[in-house]
Amino acid sequence: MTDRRGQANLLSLAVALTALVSATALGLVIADGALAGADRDPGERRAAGAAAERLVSADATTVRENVLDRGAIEALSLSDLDALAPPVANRSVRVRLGGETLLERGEPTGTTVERVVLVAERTTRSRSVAVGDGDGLTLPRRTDRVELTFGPGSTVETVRANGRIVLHDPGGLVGQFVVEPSRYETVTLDFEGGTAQVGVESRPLRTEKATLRVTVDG
Amino acid sequence: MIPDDRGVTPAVGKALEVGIVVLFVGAMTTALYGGAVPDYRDAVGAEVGDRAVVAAAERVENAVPPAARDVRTVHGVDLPRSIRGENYRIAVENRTLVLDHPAAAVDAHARLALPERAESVDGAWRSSDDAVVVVTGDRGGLSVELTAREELRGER
Repeated sequence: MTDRRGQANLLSLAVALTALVSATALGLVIADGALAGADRDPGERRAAGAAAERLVSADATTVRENVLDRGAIEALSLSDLDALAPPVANRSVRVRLGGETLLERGEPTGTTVERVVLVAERTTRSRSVAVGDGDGLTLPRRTDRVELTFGPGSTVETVRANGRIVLHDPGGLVGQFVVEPSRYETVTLDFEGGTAQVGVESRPLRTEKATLRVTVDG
Repeated sequence: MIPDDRGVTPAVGKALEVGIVVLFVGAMTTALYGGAVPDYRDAVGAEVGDRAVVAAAERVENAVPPAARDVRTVHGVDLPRSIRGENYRIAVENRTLVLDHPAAAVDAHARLALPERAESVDGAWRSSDDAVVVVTGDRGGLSVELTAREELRGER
């Protein structure tokens, strides 16, 4: 009788301890799950972000901040990218611009960072016009560089860009000149003082919107 | 005899229960602190170390201003006071932020992506510091230094 009462007590203790052990084990399982859920690679995200950031801000690949130079970005090699953004060295990486893949190393499936950018392309437009005194010429696209070539026998004395005098020679302008107007407004060139055959070469920047996607793995 | 035995029974029973519970608690504590808890502390410490270094690297990168004639900027950096319960250092080695921590499990480094005009990057932070990044220079080149706010002696 006595023994059985004692066993009954121990039995309840055993049940209590078993419950405690299961609760602890459950706690450990949940902690494991939480830890696994919090385990991510911040370096990967940073590498992708840093690469995208450097591509849109480095002098080597851009015309100005957030405007990519198409020629430079298409000529970019993987070692250039590694030099530009050291965090992506030794990682799988893919750089896509619009729909085309520019660079790829490995098969990255990790973090992707997207940046909306402008892609600029320098185009050259040449024309030759005969101008007389007081004639104006409006360039169809904004540009920050115009080359004027006055043919022999030119008697043009003054050239104005949007009213501002940019070239002046009382003896007549002959030869090649470079004018750098503002790229923020359409430029109108006014010729005064005589007549000439003028070669006009402007280098407008043609830009289009695109999405830069950098995917990094590992 | 029999009545005497019955009188002792509760004491023996309780002693047995106390013994078992003490043993259980001891075994449980040993199991947790001998295995699971240090593992978790290592795992969490490594994770926190990774993130601290990455956050610090981003802060250093953002502290570099666009090209200008004369640059002097001071940016504060938030670092965890301690990782895995211990103090640590973050130093620059070869344009890489390296976490120097007494525990072997906590180890992190992040290469810095800085423009070419950042000519020199050096310095170190201790976790007890009020950490700042000082960028000085001109159009020709920039120097990036990791230091503590106390070291600046009031100049900003």
